[in-house]
Amino acid sequence: MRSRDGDRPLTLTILTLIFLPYLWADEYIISYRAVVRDAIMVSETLNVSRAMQKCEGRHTTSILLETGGSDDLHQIIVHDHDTFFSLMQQTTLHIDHREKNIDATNQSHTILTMPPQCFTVDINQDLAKITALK
Amino acid sequence: MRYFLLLLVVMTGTAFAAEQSDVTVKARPAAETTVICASPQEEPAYTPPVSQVTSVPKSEPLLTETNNVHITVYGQGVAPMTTTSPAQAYALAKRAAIADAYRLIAEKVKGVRVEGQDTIKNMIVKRSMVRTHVDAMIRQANIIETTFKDGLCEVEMEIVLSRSQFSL
Repeated sequence: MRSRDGDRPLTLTILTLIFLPYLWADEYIISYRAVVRDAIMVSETLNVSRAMQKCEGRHTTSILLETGGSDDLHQIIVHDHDTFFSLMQQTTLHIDHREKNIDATNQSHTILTMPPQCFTVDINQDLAKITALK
Repeated sequence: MRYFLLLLVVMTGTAFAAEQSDVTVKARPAAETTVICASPQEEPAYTPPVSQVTSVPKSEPLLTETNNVHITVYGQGVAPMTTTSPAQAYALAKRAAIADAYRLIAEKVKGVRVEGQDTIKNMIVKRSMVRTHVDAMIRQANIIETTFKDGLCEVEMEIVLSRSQFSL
Protein backbone atom coordinates (compact mmCIF):
# COMPACT_ATOMS: atom_id res chain seq x y z
CA MET A 1 0.00 0.00 0.00
CA ARG A 2 1.54 3.29 -1.11
CA SER A 3 1.35 6.39 0.97
CA ARG A 4 0.19 9.71 -0.45
CA ASP A 5 3.73 11.01 -0.29
CA GLY A 6 4.90 8.06 -2.35
CA ASP A 7 2.73 9.11 -5.33
CA ARG A 8 4.26 12.56 -5.51
CA PRO A 9 7.27 11.63 -7.70
CA LEU A 10 4.98 9.88 -10.17
CA THR A 11 2.66 12.89 -10.41
CA LEU A 12 5.61 15.23 -10.86
CA THR A 13 7.01 13.02 -13.62
CA ILE A 14 3.70 13.00 -15.49
CA LEU A 15 3.28 16.75 -15.15
CA THR A 16 6.87 17.31 -16.28
CA LEU A 17 6.35 15.11 -19.33
CA ILE A 18 3.21 17.02 -20.26
CA PHE A 19 4.48 20.57 -19.76
CA LEU A 20 8.20 20.23 -20.51
CA PRO A 21 7.76 20.38 -24.30
CA TYR A 22 6.03 23.73 -23.89
CA LEU A 23 8.88 25.01 -21.73
CA TRP A 24 11.48 23.89 -24.27
CA ALA A 25 9.51 24.89 -27.34
CA ASP A 26 10.77 27.78 -29.43
CA GLU A 27 8.50 30.55 -30.57
CA TYR A 28 8.35 31.58 -34.19
CA ILE A 29 6.59 34.36 -36.06
CA ILE A 30 5.11 33.02 -39.29
CA SER A 31 3.32 34.91 -42.04
CA TYR A 32 1.98 33.79 -45.42
CA ARG A 33 0.88 35.56 -48.59
CA ALA A 34 -0.53 34.10 -51.81
CA VAL A 35 -1.38 36.11 -54.91
CA VAL A 36 -3.80 34.67 -57.47
CA ARG A 37 -4.42 36.42 -60.78
CA ASP A 38 -7.16 35.22 -63.14
CA ALA A 39 -7.55 31.94 -61.19
CA ILE A 40 -3.83 31.19 -61.57
CA MET A 41 -1.42 31.35 -58.67
CA VAL A 42 1.34 33.83 -59.47
CA SER A 43 3.25 34.21 -56.23
CA GLU A 44 3.49 32.71 -52.78
CA THR A 45 5.51 33.93 -49.82
CA LEU A 46 6.12 32.20 -46.51
CA ASN A 47 8.09 34.11 -43.90
CA VAL A 48 9.45 32.29 -40.85
CA SER A 49 11.51 33.93 -38.14
CA ARG A 50 12.25 33.37 -34.48
CA ALA A 51 10.30 35.55 -32.10
CA MET A 52 12.46 38.30 -30.63
CA GLN A 53 10.32 38.53 -27.53
CA LYS A 54 8.06 36.24 -25.55
CA CYS A 55 4.68 35.66 -27.16
CA GLU A 56 1.54 35.91 -25.10
CA GLY A 57 -1.54 33.77 -25.50
CA ARG A 58 -2.84 30.31 -24.83
CA HIS A 59 -2.08 27.22 -26.87
CA THR A 60 -4.78 26.15 -29.31
CA THR A 61 -4.60 23.69 -32.20
CA SER A 62 -1.43 21.66 -32.83
CA ILE A 63 -0.07 19.80 -35.82
CA LEU A 64 2.77 17.33 -36.25
CA LEU A 65 5.03 17.61 -39.28
CA GLU A 66 7.79 15.24 -40.34
CA THR A 67 11.16 16.95 -40.17
CA GLY A 68 12.99 14.65 -42.58
CA GLY A 69 16.18 15.22 -40.59
CA SER A 70 16.05 18.98 -41.01
CA ASP A 71 15.79 21.52 -38.21
CA ASP A 72 14.89 24.39 -40.57
CA LEU A 73 11.25 25.22 -39.91
CA HIS A 74 10.79 26.88 -43.30
CA GLN A 75 11.79 23.69 -45.10
CA ILE A 76 9.66 21.53 -42.80
CA ILE A 77 6.56 23.64 -43.52
CA VAL A 78 7.17 23.80 -47.29
CA HIS A 79 7.60 20.01 -47.35
CA ASP A 80 4.10 19.48 -45.91
CA HIS A 81 2.28 22.67 -46.80
CA ASP A 82 -1.20 21.15 -46.76
CA THR A 83 -0.99 20.13 -43.11
CA PHE A 84 0.32 23.53 -42.14
CA PHE A 85 -2.44 25.20 -44.13
CA SER A 86 -5.03 23.32 -42.05
CA LEU A 87 -3.48 25.01 -39.00
CA MET A 88 -3.46 28.39 -40.74
CA GLN A 89 -7.15 28.05 -41.45
CA GLN A 90 -7.87 27.93 -37.73
CA THR A 91 -6.19 31.31 -37.36
CA THR A 92 -7.45 34.50 -39.01
CA LEU A 93 -6.80 34.84 -42.74
CA HIS A 94 -7.30 38.04 -44.68
CA ILE A 95 -8.78 37.96 -48.17
CA ASP A 96 -8.62 40.88 -50.58
CA HIS A 97 -10.23 40.35 -54.00
CA ARG A 98 -10.56 42.85 -56.81
CA GLU A 99 -12.31 42.11 -60.08
CA LYS A 100 -12.66 44.27 -63.15
CA ASN A 101 -14.93 43.76 -66.15
CA ILE A 102 -14.24 46.05 -69.08
CA ASP A 103 -16.27 45.42 -72.23
CA ALA A 104 -16.91 41.77 -71.33
CA THR A 105 -13.24 41.16 -70.50
CA ASN A 106 -12.67 39.93 -66.97
CA GLN A 107 -9.60 40.44 -64.78
CA SER A 108 -9.37 39.25 -61.19
CA HIS A 109 -6.74 39.70 -58.51
CA THR A 110 -6.91 37.90 -55.17
CA ILE A 111 -4.52 38.16 -52.22
CA LEU A 112 -4.79 35.69 -49.35
CA THR A 113 -2.74 36.71 -46.33
CA MET A 114 -2.00 35.31 -42.91
CA PRO A 115 -0.76 38.25 -40.84
CA PRO A 116 2.41 37.62 -38.77
CA GLN A 117 1.41 35.29 -35.99
CA CYS A 118 3.19 33.54 -33.14
CA PHE A 119 3.53 29.74 -33.07
CA THR A 120 5.34 27.55 -30.60
CA VAL A 121 7.52 24.96 -32.31
CA ASP A 122 9.09 21.89 -30.75
CA ILE A 123 11.43 20.14 -33.16
CA ASN A 124 12.51 16.62 -32.29
CA GLN A 125 14.51 14.21 -34.45
CA ASP A 126 11.61 13.05 -36.61
CA LEU A 127 8.69 15.33 -35.82
CA ALA A 128 8.01 19.00 -35.37
CA LYS A 129 5.07 20.02 -33.23
CA ILE A 130 3.64 23.39 -34.22
CA THR A 131 1.05 24.97 -31.95
CA ALA A 132 -0.90 28.11 -32.70
CA LEU A 133 -1.14 30.73 -29.99
CA LYS A 134 -4.33 32.69 -29.51
CA MET B 1 -57.84 54.72 -112.46
CA ARG B 2 -55.56 51.88 -111.39
CA TYR B 3 -52.46 54.00 -111.92
CA PHE B 4 -54.06 56.83 -109.99
CA LEU B 5 -54.77 54.53 -107.00
CA LEU B 6 -51.22 53.12 -107.13
CA LEU B 7 -49.79 56.67 -107.20
CA LEU B 8 -51.97 57.60 -104.21
CA VAL B 9 -50.72 54.60 -102.20
CA VAL B 10 -47.07 55.41 -102.99
CA MET B 11 -47.50 59.06 -102.00
CA THR B 12 -49.18 58.13 -98.71
CA GLY B 13 -46.35 55.71 -97.88
CA THR B 14 -43.69 58.34 -98.61
CA ALA B 15 -45.46 60.89 -96.43
CA PHE B 16 -45.71 58.39 -93.56
CA ALA B 17 -42.02 57.56 -93.81
CA ALA B 18 -41.10 61.24 -93.73
CA GLU B 19 -43.26 61.71 -90.65
CA GLN B 20 -41.49 58.78 -88.94
CA SER B 21 -38.05 60.18 -89.65
CA ASP B 22 -39.06 63.53 -88.16
CA VAL B 23 -40.07 61.81 -84.91
CA THR B 24 -36.70 60.09 -84.71
CA VAL B 25 -34.85 63.36 -85.12
CA LYS B 26 -36.93 65.03 -82.44
CA ALA B 27 -36.25 62.26 -80.01
CA ARG B 28 -32.48 62.74 -80.24
CA PRO B 29 -31.85 65.76 -77.99
CA ALA B 30 -30.74 64.84 -74.53
CA ALA B 31 -32.93 67.48 -72.93
CA GLU B 32 -36.05 65.60 -73.89
CA THR B 33 -34.64 62.39 -72.43
CA THR B 34 -33.91 64.19 -69.17
CA VAL B 35 -37.50 65.36 -68.94
CA ILE B 36 -38.67 61.79 -69.31
CA CYS B 37 -36.30 60.62 -66.58
CA ALA B 38 -37.55 63.31 -64.21
CA SER B 39 -41.12 62.06 -64.31
CA PRO B 40 -40.85 59.81 -61.17
CA GLN B 41 -40.72 62.96 -59.01
CA GLU B 42 -44.28 63.73 -59.91
CA GLU B 43 -45.49 60.24 -59.05
CA PRO B 44 -45.91 59.28 -55.38
CA ALA B 45 -43.07 57.18 -53.96
CA TYR B 46 -43.68 53.43 -53.90
CA THR B 47 -44.29 52.18 -50.39
CA PRO B 48 -44.47 48.39 -50.11
CA PRO B 49 -47.11 46.94 -47.79
CA VAL B 50 -46.00 46.27 -44.22
CA SER B 51 -46.51 42.53 -44.62
CA GLN B 52 -44.13 42.51 -47.61
CA VAL B 53 -41.38 44.24 -45.63
CA THR B 54 -41.53 42.07 -42.54
CA SER B 55 -41.92 38.72 -44.28
CA VAL B 56 -38.71 36.70 -44.61
CA PRO B 57 -38.36 33.73 -46.94
CA LYS B 58 -38.55 30.58 -44.86
CA SER B 59 -36.06 28.71 -47.01
CA GLU B 60 -33.17 30.96 -45.95
CA PRO B 61 -31.45 29.73 -42.77
CA LEU B 62 -31.37 32.32 -40.01
CA LEU B 63 -28.60 32.80 -37.47
CA THR B 64 -30.18 32.49 -34.06
CA GLU B 65 -28.91 31.56 -30.59
CA THR B 66 -29.74 27.92 -31.18
CA ASN B 67 -29.35 27.69 -34.95
CA ASN B 68 -25.94 27.83 -36.63
CA VAL B 69 -25.57 28.65 -40.32
CA HIS B 70 -23.43 26.44 -42.53
CA ILE B 71 -22.02 28.10 -45.64
CA THR B 72 -20.53 25.87 -48.33
CA VAL B 73 -18.67 27.20 -51.37
CA TYR B 74 -16.79 25.69 -54.28
CA GLY B 75 -13.58 27.50 -55.18
CA GLN B 76 -11.93 26.93 -58.54
CA GLY B 77 -8.31 27.30 -59.55
CA VAL B 78 -6.38 26.59 -62.72
CA ALA B 79 -2.88 25.19 -63.04
CA PRO B 80 -0.43 27.44 -64.91
CA MET B 81 0.76 26.35 -68.34
CA THR B 82 4.41 26.42 -67.29
CA THR B 83 4.61 23.71 -64.66
CA THR B 84 7.40 21.20 -64.37
CA SER B 85 5.33 18.29 -63.05
CA PRO B 86 1.70 17.25 -62.51
CA ALA B 87 2.28 17.49 -58.76
CA GLN B 88 3.32 21.12 -59.07
CA ALA B 89 0.31 21.83 -61.27
CA TYR B 90 -1.97 20.26 -58.67
CA ALA B 91 -0.40 22.19 -55.79
CA LEU B 92 -0.62 25.54 -57.55
CA ALA B 93 -4.16 24.94 -58.79
CA LYS B 94 -5.25 23.92 -55.30
CA ARG B 95 -3.84 27.06 -53.73
CA ALA B 96 -5.59 29.21 -56.31
CA ALA B 97 -8.82 27.31 -55.61
CA ILE B 98 -8.45 27.85 -51.86
CA ALA B 99 -8.05 31.60 -52.37
CA ASP B 100 -11.14 31.58 -54.60
CA ALA B 101 -13.10 29.66 -51.95
CA TYR B 102 -12.13 32.22 -49.31
CA ARG B 103 -13.27 34.96 -51.66
CA LEU B 104 -16.65 33.27 -52.12
CA ILE B 105 -17.11 32.89 -48.36
CA ALA B 106 -16.27 36.57 -47.88
CA GLU B 107 -18.77 37.50 -50.59
CA LYS B 108 -21.51 35.54 -48.86
CA VAL B 109 -20.80 36.59 -45.30
CA LYS B 110 -19.67 40.19 -45.66
CA GLY B 111 -20.78 41.25 -49.13
CA VAL B 112 -19.32 42.78 -52.26
CA ARG B 113 -18.65 46.41 -53.08
CA VAL B 114 -19.67 47.03 -56.68
CA GLU B 115 -18.86 50.07 -58.80
CA GLY B 116 -20.07 50.50 -62.36
CA GLN B 117 -19.41 53.04 -65.06
CA ASP B 118 -20.87 53.12 -68.56
CA THR B 119 -19.82 55.62 -71.22
CA ILE B 120 -22.52 56.31 -73.81
CA LYS B 121 -22.04 58.45 -76.89
CA ASN B 122 -24.80 59.07 -79.43
CA MET B 123 -26.95 56.44 -77.74
CA ILE B 124 -24.25 53.78 -78.21
CA VAL B 125 -22.35 52.17 -75.34
CA LYS B 126 -18.70 53.00 -75.93
CA ARG B 127 -17.24 51.55 -72.74
CA SER B 128 -18.72 49.47 -69.96
CA MET B 129 -16.84 48.83 -66.74
CA VAL B 130 -17.81 47.02 -63.54
CA ARG B 131 -15.44 46.80 -60.58
CA THR B 132 -16.01 44.56 -57.57
CA HIS B 133 -14.07 44.48 -54.33
CA VAL B 134 -14.18 42.02 -51.44
CA ASP B 135 -12.21 42.57 -48.24
CA ALA B 136 -12.65 40.36 -45.17
CA MET B 137 -11.00 38.44 -42.36
CA ILE B 138 -12.02 34.78 -42.15
CA ARG B 139 -11.33 32.27 -39.41
CA GLN B 140 -12.03 28.55 -39.00
CA ALA B 141 -12.98 27.64 -42.54
CA ASN B 142 -12.56 23.98 -43.40
CA ILE B 143 -11.73 22.22 -46.64
CA ILE B 144 -14.22 19.41 -47.13
CA GLU B 145 -13.16 17.96 -50.48
CA THR B 146 -10.65 18.62 -53.24
CA THR B 147 -10.98 17.44 -56.84
CA PHE B 148 -8.51 17.92 -59.68
CA LYS B 149 -9.45 17.19 -63.27
CA ASP B 150 -8.11 18.48 -66.59
CA GLY B 151 -6.01 21.17 -64.93
CA LEU B 152 -8.95 22.54 -62.94
CA CYS B 153 -8.92 22.16 -59.19
CA GLU B 154 -12.13 22.50 -57.23
CA VAL B 155 -12.14 22.93 -53.47
CA GLU B 156 -15.26 22.51 -51.37
CA MET B 157 -14.98 24.74 -48.33
CA GLU B 158 -17.31 25.15 -45.40
CA ILE B 159 -17.65 27.63 -42.60
CA VAL B 160 -20.00 27.48 -39.64
CA LEU B 161 -21.40 30.74 -38.33
CA SER B 162 -22.65 30.76 -34.78
CA ARG B 163 -24.24 33.53 -32.76
CA SER B 164 -21.51 33.34 -30.12
CA GLN B 165 -18.89 34.50 -32.65
CA PHE B 166 -20.65 37.83 -33.00
CA SER B 167 -21.31 38.44 -29.31
CA LEU B 168 -19.02 40.86 -27.46
